[in-house]
Amino acid sequence: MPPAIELRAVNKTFGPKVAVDNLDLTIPEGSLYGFIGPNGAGKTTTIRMIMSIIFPDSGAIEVLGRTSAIESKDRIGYLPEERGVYKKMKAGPFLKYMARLKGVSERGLEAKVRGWLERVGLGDCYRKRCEELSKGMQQKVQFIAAIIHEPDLLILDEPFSGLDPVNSRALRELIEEQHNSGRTIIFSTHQMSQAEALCDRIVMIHQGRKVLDNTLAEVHAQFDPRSILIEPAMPDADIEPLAALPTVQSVRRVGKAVEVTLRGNADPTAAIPLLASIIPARRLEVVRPTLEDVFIAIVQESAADPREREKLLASLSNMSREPELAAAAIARGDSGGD
Amino acid sequence: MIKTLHIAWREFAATVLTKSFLIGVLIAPLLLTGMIPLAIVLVSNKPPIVKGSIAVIDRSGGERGLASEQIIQRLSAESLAAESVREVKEATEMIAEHLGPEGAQAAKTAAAMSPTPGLEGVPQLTVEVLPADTDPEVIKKSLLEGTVRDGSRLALIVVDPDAVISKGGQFATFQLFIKAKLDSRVHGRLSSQVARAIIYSRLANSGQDPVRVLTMTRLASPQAVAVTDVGEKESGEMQQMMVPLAFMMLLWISVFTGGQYLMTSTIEEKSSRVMEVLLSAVSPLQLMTGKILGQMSAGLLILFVYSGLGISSLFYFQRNDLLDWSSLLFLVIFFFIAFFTMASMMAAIGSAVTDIHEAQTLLMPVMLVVMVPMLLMMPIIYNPKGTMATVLSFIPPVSPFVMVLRISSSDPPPLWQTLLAIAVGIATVIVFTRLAAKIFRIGVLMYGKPPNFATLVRWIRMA
Repeated sequence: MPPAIELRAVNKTFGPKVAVDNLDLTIPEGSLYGFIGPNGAGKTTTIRMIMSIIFPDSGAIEVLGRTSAIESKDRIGYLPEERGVYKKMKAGPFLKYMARLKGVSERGLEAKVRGWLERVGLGDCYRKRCEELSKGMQQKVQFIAAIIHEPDLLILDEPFSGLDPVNSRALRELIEEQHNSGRTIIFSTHQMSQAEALCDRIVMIHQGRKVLDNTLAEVHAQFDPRSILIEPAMPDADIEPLAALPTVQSVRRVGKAVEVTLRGNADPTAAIPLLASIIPARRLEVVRPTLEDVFIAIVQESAADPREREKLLASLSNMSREPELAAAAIARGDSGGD
Repeated sequence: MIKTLHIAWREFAATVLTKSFLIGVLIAPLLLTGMIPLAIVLVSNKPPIVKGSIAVIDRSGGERGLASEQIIQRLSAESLAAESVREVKEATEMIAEHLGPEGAQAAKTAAAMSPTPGLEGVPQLTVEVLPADTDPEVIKKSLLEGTVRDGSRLALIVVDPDAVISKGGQFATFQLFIKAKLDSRVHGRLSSQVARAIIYSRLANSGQDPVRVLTMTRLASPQAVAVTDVGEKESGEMQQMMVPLAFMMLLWISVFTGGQYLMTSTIEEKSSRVMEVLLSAVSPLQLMTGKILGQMSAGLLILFVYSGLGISSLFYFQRNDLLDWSSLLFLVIFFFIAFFTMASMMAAIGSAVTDIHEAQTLLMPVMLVVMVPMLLMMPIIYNPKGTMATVLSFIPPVSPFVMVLRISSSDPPPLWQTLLAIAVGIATVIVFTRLAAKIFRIGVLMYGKPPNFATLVRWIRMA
């Protein structure tokens, strides 16, 4: 099966700024791909090049088997990061107009538009001007505009930005549904938790370079968990015996819990019963590295120069995160966090 | 192609089917047309009420004080009223000559509706003939007192000694001193009436029959008739200028309105961030083409509405002979050239900026260039084959405007010049749209610092 998108050695510069640096990327058909990285990493530039809205300085791009997205625009649904609606246009006619521009025939179009509006809870908005809709409602309208022509490939640039949790979840369900019907979906986000919840593959971009491209499972395997979090049944339990274990590197209290870091060659599944036998625990879990941890690890690995690393971490700290993720990062004492 | 037409249709509908377009572009000229007869009625040429005395020192010493007698008679209310009536009649006849019978009817109606200069409308003047040896300086001082309405002295007329009877074949004239506040129309009338009185006295004094001589010397000057290969045309300065002026304004308004709408709609698409959503479905070139076509239709609509109004009024006044149908064809051709040139500039500017304020800096040089035909309109109309007009005919952004002026003028340029101007225009359109497409492609996705001309040039090189 040919890949839905293939980028080979793609470069793009804007004046002195290198936006995309020698990027190779293959996105198989039917996959749900997360495109992550901090703001200004080059995600939107890459997506725009895939969409043939801008063109690379060098390198080759193939989209749905064509050398340019222009030839297959009607098979692609695109929700750009910079998105808007015609303020004075009514939502229904706007969607009809967008559908017509994507080659959907007039027949049955109105029913289709009304059906979609109904589905996302905007059944009464067909005749409302777009300016009368809230931002979240407008975003739903824009999402419909991206999928109304039933595309084979769906590219969503920051689809969750500006949505409240309820609408975020609704959108996530819609994306999953699109994925389940066999469509290839790429979405970019700087919220790594969203990517973690949705994607089966992750591409991480930093300063125009690809720093990670793997399935989520492999990412987790690659960044092997070596920490176990224990919440003792008795709050004042003695944790000294834990530290004495040969597989344990270090032990420290984190709030009510205790974080046990294992040595590099230790198997966490073998360590858990051992730990549980020493301290009766209310909760005991292997700390899975979040994408954010992975990202920090990569950044720290890749940047030898400490000043450079500081900069990278600073750019990372700009990334907004889900509260629990941030809390977890703090709980683990990550210095690169917020 | 279908997509481009969809964009064009949306653009057209979004522009034309709005209240501001319907009111501003369509209803305004209709109202204006209705205002003209009203204006004729409202703006009558009626001088203010004036009441007072006119002092006359008649030093001509003509037979039985003939001059002063004539002056008294011609400054009487009856005589002044009759004079006003005669003027209105002449004006009406002049309009009739220009506009044909229908127009004459309209003018007559308007004249009838305007306040008839009855006795109450004319200056109430009493004439006091002072002895010939009165010192004018004393009377002049009295002019400083009172107002123009309280019956005080308004003017002093001093008829010179040789005004009526020549001395060695030379006639003298008269002097007129007036109150500073006296309306210019009143003292103009005063002056002409006194002049008539003196001429009458001269004729009578030399033994002629004044009425007979005056009748013999009066000759209505005819309307010049231009003989052309399509028939005879009455020619007048007004007509000579009216048609080129109308053509040029038509072109200017339709091109500009379309261009303005194009720019604002592009800016709106950018600032509302709908641009990239559109670009996911169409290419920047398709988008730009569609928008230009849509606004062109709006511009053409304006052109047709306005020229339709103009042509139907020419037919109404039976002056369709003023219109040369081939120049109408050229008007449409040059509309396309001017519109595409203007539209590419406006699309490029609109795409480069994020709001209308940023556009001002880029717009200014464009405005300066297109104001050129407006500023040079009069010299071109008067001298349509002059060097300036000929040279400007081939300089791109102003060329179509100048050509329209020249083609519709009384002395159209040779055909080769028209064809050359069209060729230059088409070449310009090709170059301009290509450059605009390059700027547009890059500009539509650029946000942030508003670009200057150097940036635009860099974009052109980049694309």
